[in-house]
Order: sequence, then C-alpha cells, then structure tokens
Amino acid sequence: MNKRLRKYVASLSLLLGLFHLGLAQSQVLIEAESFDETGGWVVDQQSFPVIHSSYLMAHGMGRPVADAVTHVRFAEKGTYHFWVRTKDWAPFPKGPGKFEVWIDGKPVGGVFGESGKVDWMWYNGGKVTIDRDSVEIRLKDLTGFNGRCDALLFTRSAAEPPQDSVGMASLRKELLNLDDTRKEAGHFDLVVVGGGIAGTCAAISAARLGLTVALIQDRPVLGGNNSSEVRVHLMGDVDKNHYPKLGRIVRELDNGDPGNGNPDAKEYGDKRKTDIIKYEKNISLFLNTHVYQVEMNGDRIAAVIGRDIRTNQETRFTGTYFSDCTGDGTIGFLAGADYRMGRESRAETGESFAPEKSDNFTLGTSNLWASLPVDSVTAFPETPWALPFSDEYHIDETKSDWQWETGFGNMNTITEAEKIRDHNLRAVYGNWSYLKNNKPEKYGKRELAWVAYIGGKRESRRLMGDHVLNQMDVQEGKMYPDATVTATWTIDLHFPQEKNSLYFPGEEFFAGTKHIRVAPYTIPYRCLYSRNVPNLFMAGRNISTTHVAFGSTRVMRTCGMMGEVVGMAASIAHKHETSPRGVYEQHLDELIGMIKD
Amino acid sequence: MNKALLVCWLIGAAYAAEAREASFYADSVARTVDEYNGVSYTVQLQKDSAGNPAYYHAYVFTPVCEDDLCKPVYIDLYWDLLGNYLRYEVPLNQPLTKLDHVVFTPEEYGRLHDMLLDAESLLKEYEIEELVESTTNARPGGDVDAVTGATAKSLQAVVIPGALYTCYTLWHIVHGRVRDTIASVTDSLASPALLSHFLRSGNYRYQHYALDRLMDEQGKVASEFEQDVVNLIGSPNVFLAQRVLKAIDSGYLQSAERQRWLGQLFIGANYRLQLALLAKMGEIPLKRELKNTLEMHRRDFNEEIATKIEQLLTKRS
Repeated sequence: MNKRLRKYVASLSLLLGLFHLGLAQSQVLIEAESFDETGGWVVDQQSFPVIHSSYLMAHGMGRPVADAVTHVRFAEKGTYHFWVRTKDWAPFPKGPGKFEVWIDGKPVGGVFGESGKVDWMWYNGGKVTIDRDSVEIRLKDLTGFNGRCDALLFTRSAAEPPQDSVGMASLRKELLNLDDTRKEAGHFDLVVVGGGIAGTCAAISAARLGLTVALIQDRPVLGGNNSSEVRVHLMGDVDKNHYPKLGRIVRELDNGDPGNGNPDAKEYGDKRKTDIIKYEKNISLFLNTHVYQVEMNGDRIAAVIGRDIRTNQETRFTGTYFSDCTGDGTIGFLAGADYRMGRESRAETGESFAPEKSDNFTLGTSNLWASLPVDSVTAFPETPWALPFSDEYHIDETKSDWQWETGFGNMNTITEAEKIRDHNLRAVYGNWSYLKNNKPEKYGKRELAWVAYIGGKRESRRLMGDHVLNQMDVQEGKMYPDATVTATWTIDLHFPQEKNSLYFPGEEFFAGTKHIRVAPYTIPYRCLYSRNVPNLFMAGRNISTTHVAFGSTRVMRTCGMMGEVVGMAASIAHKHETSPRGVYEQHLDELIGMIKD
Repeated sequence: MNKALLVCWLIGAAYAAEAREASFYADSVARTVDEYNGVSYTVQLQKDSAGNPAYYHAYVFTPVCEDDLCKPVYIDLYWDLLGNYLRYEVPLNQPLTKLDHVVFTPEEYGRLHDMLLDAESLLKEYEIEELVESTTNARPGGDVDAVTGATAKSLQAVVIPGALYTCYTLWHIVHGRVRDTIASVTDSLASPALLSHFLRSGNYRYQHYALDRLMDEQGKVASEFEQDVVNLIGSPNVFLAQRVLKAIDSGYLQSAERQRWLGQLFIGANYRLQLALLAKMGEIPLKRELKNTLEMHRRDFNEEIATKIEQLLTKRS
C-alpha cells in the first residue's frame, strides 16, 4: 500500500497545487479496508452501491476484536487536519460501535462511532502533527459490536472533506488515482458476474464447453448464500428433472445438507467450490472484486469494471457475453436492462397470489447465527441499543433458522442493505442478551459461535427477459418448447410473522410463510436472457419472473441449474456468433439437444 | 397413587415459585374436562394458605395410542390461573415410556417439559391420523406427489423419538379443552383483590389479563387500581409498559409527583420506551420540574430525542 499511497500523495499535491494557486497542500486518504493488517476487523462491501466503497467492521459478537494496523508514509511532514469517516450504526439512542484511532501509539481525536447519527460522515479528529516519514495507525475496537470505519483522511486544508457519497466517490477516485491504475483483465467469451451457486455453475458449464470465462465474485469465497459467510442450505430438487442432465454441476458443488446457520463453517464446502473452479483451465477467477460500472457499445455491454474490495485496485473485463448472476441484477441495472422490483398487481399479471395493487414488498434478508455449549457460565453484555426483549416476548432458541429475516418492503434490499443487516444484528444481539441475562439455566453455558455479517438476501431486482414466468406457468406446469430447468420448490413467499408484527410493528425481524405446493415445472430459456440488452444472460434469483413465481424459482439448486443452461446457451451463441435471443430463435433444437444429451 | 416424584419440572412463573414454599390446599372449585381422545379428568383450583387462587392441578390417566402397544400415562399436570402450562410430575412407579416400553431418560423428561411449554408447537397443526406419515414426510396433510418446502421445521425435531404418541397426547391435553375450562373458572373468581394481585404479580400474562378487565376505552381505571396501573409504566417488560403508556388516561400523569417519576424513568429507560414517554408527554401539560429534567438531559441521547424534547419545551401548554 505504501508505494501506491506515496504516489497518490505526490500526484494529489500536484493536482491541488494547480487548483490552489500553487499553495502547497496535500491530502492523504487511507481506506480502512486497505490497512496492511485488518486484525479482527472484517471487510464489508455490501453497501458499495450506496457509499461507493467497502469498509472495515469490528464484528466481534460482543468481544473487542484485534487491532487493524497499517503504516503510512507521508511525503510532507507537518500539521494535518485529521478526519475519520464512520457512523453510529445503532443510534438508539447511541450505538455500541465504539473505536479509537491510534497514531504511533497514542489515541487521536477521542472515541468514534457513538455520535447518535446513522449517516456515514467525516468526523473531525483534530490536528495531528506528523514529524516522521512513516507512522503506524491502529484501529482499536472498544466493544466487539460492529464499529466501522470507511477511511481516514489527513489534509493540510482546514476545509471539511465532502460529506456526501458522490463527492466522496470523486475524492476517492482522485486520491487513489483509480482510473490511471486500472488493470485490463483481457477479453473473455463469457464474463460471469456473481459467484453464488448460479454464477459458479454458469462459469463451469461454459468453460467445459470451451469458452474462456471470467468469474467475478465480490467476496473472498464462492457460493453466495450457500457459502460459510451466509450458511443457507441448498434447496430445490435435482432428481425430478425433465432433462436429467441438468443438475450435474450443482451436485458437484453440493457439500451435503448442514441445514441453515450451522455453527460449523466447513459444512458449507467453500473449499470444495473453489477447488472445482481451480481445476477448470478456461476459468479465470476474480475473488474480492465488486463490479460497479459497465461500459456500453450501443445497447450491448462491452466491459465491466470491478474494484478489489480490499486493495481498491480496479480491473476492467471485456467480453462477448455477460451473465448477471449478482442476485441484485447489478449488471443489468447498470446496463439499462428492463427490471422489476417489488410486487406486480393482480391486474397486471392475472396471478391470484399477487396483491391488488403493485407495491415495493420484497422478501427479506437473513443474518443467521448459532450458539454452542461451553464448559462454564459466560457473560454477555446488556444491549440497550438493540431491539428490546422481555419475558413476554423473546425468541427462545439456541440457533437461528430461516425465519430470522428483515426487510419486507419497509426497507429497500439494495439501497438500505446496511440498515437491514444492522436491524438483523440488533435483533440477534438484543435477543441473545436477553437469553443470557435472564435465562441462565438454559443459556448460561452457551456462547454465540457465529453471527453472519453478510446478509443472506432473498429478493431484489428481477431482470426482464423475453418471457416472464408467472404463477400460472408454475402452477399449471406449462411446458414451453424452450423448457429447460425443472423447479420443484413451493411458492414460498415470506411475510412478517404475525406475532412478531404485533411486538415490532414496522420493525419486524421474524418471518412466516405459506408453502404453496407445486408439481415439478419447467423454466423457459427465455427467462434467462435480457429482453433489451442483447448480450446479457442471467441466472439466479434475478431471472425473468414475477414476484410470485420468483417465490418458487429462487432456491439455490434451481438457480444453479439455470447457470448450467446459461453456460450451454453461451457456447451455442458463441459458436454461431449470435445473441442469447438468437439461440432461442435459430438454435433452440441445438440447445435442447445439449440439455437432453 | 404413589406420590413420590420422579420428576418435577418447575418454571420460573411467580405462582410456580410460590408453590414450592407456601402450603396449598384444593379448593372446592373443580371441573370435569372431557378430552378429545375420550379421556375424562377433573381439574381443580388450588389456593395458597391465605386463600388466594394459586394454580390448577389435574391428575390424568390416559392411553396414548389406540392399541396396546404403548403403556398408558399417569401424570399430574399444573397450569397457572389462565390455563398456561406450568409443569408436570409422574409417579416413580409409573415412568413415561417410549417404544418397546423403554423408559424416558432424564433428558427426555426435560425435553417433554420444554415441548409442553411451547403453546405454538408444530404439534398443534397435526391431526393424530397424520402422525405416522408426517414423521416420514415432514409436513402435515401432504400429497404424496407434492414437493414440500423443507424450510418448515419437521415434527421429528420437536418430539421425543419413540414417544411420538405420548408427546402428541400430552401436548393436546395440556393445550386442549382444559384451557377454556380454567379460563371460565378464573373469570368467575376475578375479584378486585385478585386483579390487584395480578397487577403486582410481575407475571405479564396476569398483568395483561387484569388490564383487559380494569381499563376502559378512555384508559381510565377505578381509583383503587390507579397506582398499580401507573406503576406498570416502569415495568422491565417494555411491551407491557408501552401498552399502559399508550392507553392510559393522561389525566393520571399530571401531578407533580407522577411527572417527577416519569422524568426519572425517561432518563434510564430503554430507547423504545423513551420515545413512548416523550409521545405521552406531548399529551399532558408539563410541570416546570419535568421540563427542567428534560432540558438538562436534552443532549444526552440522540438527535431524534433532542428534537422531540425541543418540541415539548417550546410547545405552548
């Protein structure tokens, strides 16, 4: 980092010098996620669409985490105004995410993270005199309760740095010199964005059919909701397929069923998934890379740009075809693909389960957790900033399951993903604190073994294809000529559990569902490519369905099989130099033949 | 019956705790309960030494399946005054058994108690005929061809292996018709003394029950209950406190003494209650002393609270 940083400081001094009439000023921006050692802090990129950056978070489940440490070289000695970009994530009334910043062994600027304000902001840490070439900076967590730091800024100017995320994004671009240091990853036949089950299957399927593939994932592990970071088990059957060939790659990735939120991370088979990819000579894997920008050539996607969630190094990927397996439909959204979010009205879709009026309702996001027995009685702090519980209402469970879920239309699952996750954390910690402090006979000798800080998101954007799968397709088992994946899951539309709504109206964190059974049905290929971005496939929860049909298609084995089909279709498109739609219009027999084979 | 107790599962409910210490005697109030499975038993009110209703008890003898494969169950069951299950006891010489007459382990007795405590158990959704299929198919009423959503918890995870019918039968007795029987008896006994006792009990179920009967739509209560009801605003049970605060007639909160108390409560309250207290303060003319307290602590919390306090202080009373 030091080399790059030196360069930024130098180039910025030059830049600012031009703008400030030769006044020698410099700024040093240190992204927290780029610290040399992150210690016990974790890198969180989930709010990238909002704050345009990753940040570090002290996710210690109530125990302060080890310091994050970095060394920064200053081109200029002297006095700097020191700023810390952070927030109070639980200002109810004041949050627990307290931390200090130590420079060369001394705390500077007091305690951060307890301002009572939820917005990301620069907080002034006073003036700091830098009298050595290099200083050591430490983030010292004080609580283990999710304190967070986006960046540190040393500036010679007394002016406040930009507080808004757009201004901040351009400052970051300048100071980190992102445009000039961007790498070219090269050209790929298929660029798969999103390394969940759908994306991983798409990449493997295409690579085995001879395409060169980039698989880009914004976390250090593959598997998405099925990774050890989220721990949702794989659902949807692969043994009732109309075309039994589908599901083979899903089976390879399947590490067995440990249930939801199992305390043993290994059960979810992160290594199995990465190993499989490593053996594929045609796949270039890019982990820790969040794609946030696309370049268009007319209405086609020409390239995508990703940023390393830790180093902030940017990489550009060009491709013939792209597959949006992000879950959020991020690539489609950036490329201007038609999409929907929320529920369609009954009048629009003719679905009996659709609401009378369209709305923003979505299924929620889970942050699963589990406790384990320990030998002796342990303590857990009171959590006044969390959701309150009492003998009248608490969740008397030693581990979570799928019901721990927030974000039923009251919060946007993309733009308010951080708020949703934090609400989940307030529910988990508040409830656990209640259990530990009030039910010692059952919980005294138990400890939190694991709490997910990555949200397991169920629903966000759905990209529209040439066919939009609906409830009637699902329930009547319509068999279109382009039928591909067989889906078996119920129409499983979650809603806030009634009792939870009673105690936490508008702040629900616990779900109920009604499983509407379906006979195995098939998903048409036309749901797997965009109707208006001609070189864009999609697989996973963001395929072309209505909200109601999505309730059934969204489970991960089914999503994986969509990926398998996309890989096959991409190979046919590539062979005939046509578009995803061209495969449907001119080469459907070939695609179905490949699936049947 | 041999009253030597093999197990005696107690929960922390106030009356259960008292039951261990005080002496109790059976009241003449007894009702017959005819259960769904044809079993009939008598549930009887027990009073404490001061003559106050304390809990209900029944001695139940029941077969747990329709053939002779399972041993019948002899069990003492206890409910609180609103029909909520408290605990059970079984005689030493009639232990509970599983398949092939294997007796319950100590852990399984504990599991049975936990299962009976869960009024929303999955067992509620099942008809007895569905039991065998359900333990293989995971969901009630399933079509053979239907593909089920396995995110629902399976019954197998809930019941004690080999004691499915015992679990089913006992849960349905404990949460069955007896609840209505108990409710009607307690309703008939709900004297001012008992309701007052309920308000002070610290048992949220009793407190809500008393509030349901004592508070009218305007949030008024008879004067003899006024202080007890106001005190509930300071309950550690934030949901109860919030209920009272929202509903109570603001006329009860206008005295200097009560406002002083509200001010102190506000400073140390949970955030959710703080907001509820500020909302209530907006309904009443605030005394100088409470205003001073709010002013003094205006900046101690967050922006939202500071703004709300500001609004209260600048409001023309």
